[in-house]
Amino acid sequence: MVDIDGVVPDRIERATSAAGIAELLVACAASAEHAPLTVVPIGGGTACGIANVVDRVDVAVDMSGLRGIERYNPADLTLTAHAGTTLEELQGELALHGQELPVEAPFAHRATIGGLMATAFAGPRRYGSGTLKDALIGASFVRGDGLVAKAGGMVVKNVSGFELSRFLHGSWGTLAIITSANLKVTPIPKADRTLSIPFGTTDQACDAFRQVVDGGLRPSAAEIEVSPLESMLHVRVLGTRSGVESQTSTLERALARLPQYRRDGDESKAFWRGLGESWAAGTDGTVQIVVGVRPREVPEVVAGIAGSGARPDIETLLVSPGTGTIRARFPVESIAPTEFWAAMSSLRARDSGTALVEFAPASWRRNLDVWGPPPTSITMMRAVKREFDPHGMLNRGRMMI
Amino acid sequence: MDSDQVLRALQHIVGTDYVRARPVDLLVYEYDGSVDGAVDTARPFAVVLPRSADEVAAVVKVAYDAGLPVVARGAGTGLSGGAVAQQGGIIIALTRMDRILEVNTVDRTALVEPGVINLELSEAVQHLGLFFAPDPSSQKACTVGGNVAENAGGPHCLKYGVTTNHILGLELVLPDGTVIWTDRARDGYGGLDLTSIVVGSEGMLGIVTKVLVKLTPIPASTGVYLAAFPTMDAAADVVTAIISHGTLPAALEMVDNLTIQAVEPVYHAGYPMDAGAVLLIELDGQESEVMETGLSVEELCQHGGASLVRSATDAGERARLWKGRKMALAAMGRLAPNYYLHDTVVPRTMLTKTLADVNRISDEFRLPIANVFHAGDGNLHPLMLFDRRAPGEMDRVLEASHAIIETCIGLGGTLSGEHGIGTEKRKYMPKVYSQDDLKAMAGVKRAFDPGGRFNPEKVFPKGYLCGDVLALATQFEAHAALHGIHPM
Repeated sequence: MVDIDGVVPDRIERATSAAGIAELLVACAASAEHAPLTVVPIGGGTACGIANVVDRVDVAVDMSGLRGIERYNPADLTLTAHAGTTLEELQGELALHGQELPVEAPFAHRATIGGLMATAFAGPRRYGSGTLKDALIGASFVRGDGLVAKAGGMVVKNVSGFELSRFLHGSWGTLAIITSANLKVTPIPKADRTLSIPFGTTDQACDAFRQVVDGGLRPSAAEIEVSPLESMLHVRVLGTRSGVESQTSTLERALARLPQYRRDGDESKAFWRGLGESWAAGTDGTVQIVVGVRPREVPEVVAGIAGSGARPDIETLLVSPGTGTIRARFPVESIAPTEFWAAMSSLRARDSGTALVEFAPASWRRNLDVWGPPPTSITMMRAVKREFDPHGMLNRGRMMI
Repeated sequence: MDSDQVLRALQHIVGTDYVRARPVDLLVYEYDGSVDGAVDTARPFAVVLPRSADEVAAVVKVAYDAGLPVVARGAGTGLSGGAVAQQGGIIIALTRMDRILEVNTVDRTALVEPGVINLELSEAVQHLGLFFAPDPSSQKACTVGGNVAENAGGPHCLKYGVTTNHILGLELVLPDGTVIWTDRARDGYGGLDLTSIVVGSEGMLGIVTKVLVKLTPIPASTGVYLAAFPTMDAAADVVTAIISHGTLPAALEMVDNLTIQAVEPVYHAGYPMDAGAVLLIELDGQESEVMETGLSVEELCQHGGASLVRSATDAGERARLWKGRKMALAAMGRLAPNYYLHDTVVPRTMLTKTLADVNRISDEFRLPIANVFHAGDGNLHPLMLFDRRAPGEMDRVLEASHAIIETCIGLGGTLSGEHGIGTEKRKYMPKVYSQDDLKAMAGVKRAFDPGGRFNPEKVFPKGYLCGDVLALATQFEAHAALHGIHPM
């Protein structure tokens, strides 16, 4: 049973083709002429809880039927996948040819390509390998007004017209329902190693990360797990066997110390899957916030969160020193939603950053705009929204636009 | 507002020295780097050279009030007519906005104005061990703002990605003169990714006044390999083999025999004169990695029938090998008075077939065609050699160019890999996109620029997006809404 924040949609429509989605949206638009309507596209449902809470959902569009790889040419390293294809299914097919999509999003057995494109989810490997956006070479979609269109192509370099496929990345289902994605893929790296080094404070761990990258190391991922006891820096390197060996010695030289843990191959991969997934879902009774700033601001912002009033109850932090993403989790009873935003005011003042509630019980989120105050460019975003979804049906009331 | 009033208003904003309106001063702004004949030249009403975003915004407001089109322009090195003012109006030349405002080594970013020259940015941050990765052939002259407009590429984009992969945020002046920042969406949580839609939009959505760029660490080690092959086919097969083997070179370029004939006698790059084609393969990374992948590349070349494989690790020798590639266009003057450089992309496994078809087209239209291109990306640059003065020759060039485009699209390719559509290829857009695909793109244009005032007559096919059509569409939709007809 599909439910969105505890709301059961009035209708669930299973998508089977772009034309069918278009027909559905045109019909919805006709009733939206008379009264507002909310249409929610759903992939694997792994991101359903990241949104403002709405009272009703009129139509949920279940994308799981639009599934499978439409074409794949291993020698070209390109493929087209239907939006409802799970990441796991896609990686399985690619692995048969020694290739992969360099995106390790959490819950790969449920997360779909369309969902990953809509939400920009990518997991910790985002630092070194980027997101799905960097692999996108084209897409097909149905706009909110029912227009069926495609963008890009099957070539790896393309400047023919506007980059609509990259634009839809991270649009959270507000402009169009994505029906397929054209992706470029890469050979699977031959070696995979994760080194974990404990530090007393987050500042020290951040400094160590700087030394490591300034020393010439090119990590694929780097995260600092902060607990009351220590700040553990995890660094992952991918590449050729000799490349990974020499990167490891670069790191040991830069830090003048040996890592506490070293994980290789499948063990390294499994470690990152576990870490990514433990921060990619809400847990009962906790609120998780995510803050995005420029990397240089990380130590200061971590200190700011510590001084936000929620400090005594913060359980853990996950800090990404390379991308500037900071996640913090605290018990729901430790702070009320309004106090929370007041505490976050220093972060909201930054024009470069984002601060939002990623996971929290629906009851806690109910009277809160989880996305925080919009950027100055919101007027332009809304203008595009009106062109693509003139009746404002897609994810109405749930997202920033 | 009459013309004199407009000129006075512009002079008031940027100063009299920085408004050009005499025909003799406008002449150089009638062109860009594209070929006259493939792209029409056009004279703007005036050229303005502002110094700040505020000045740009003020000029845009004057243009808005006067109902004049606005065309942003960098160094004018574009190859598809993007910076030519097809409907006249005001050209805003951004070359005076050339300051590097901030470099941050922790974030590995630079905040620059749009008129900063591509290569000068890399040179300015070299002492920090960083560089700006997009490296179009015109990098000694072209501007970062122009790179953003065209989503420029270059040889090293194979590994490092094109311009869009290196842009984190933009300050943008919109057609009504408002100024916005677009850098919030980089993590997927800040709303729509306006940066991604503006990069490559050819100046049709806004005028970029600041660019936050990503800087890339200079690799610890670099190796360049030269491999010569008896035929282009053999070289193309090795390109496919290298890519699917799992090696990602920093650059993988092909130079054909005709090009070798042009460059080798003058630049002595060491390309064998009798080779059907040479591949230039650059590898970078940690020293051990470069050595390890170098061995596989050498093996793949030998296995693919290379008559010669040479490697260069010291900077001097690397530069010499690259010289033949980099000076190829300059050397073409030895073979013919004029050339028309094309830019198309095909899936990489179609390279052999495409090159054979290009050869056939060369024979059919009696035009020598040289090929010097980014083979690793499947990004072809067929270069047609001709003499503009010979009667009928320009027409034949345009017909051959049409045939090349048809061929590449037929093989699953696209119109442009790095030069953009501009006016040069707008008529071909319906060959790769349906009316609905174009309508989806046009929706973005209408949201940003409902009056169709920024860089008109570009990208979209003729008549598709001019002011009248936009107005008609709006009227139609208003009418439709009034009568309950869904505007589809």
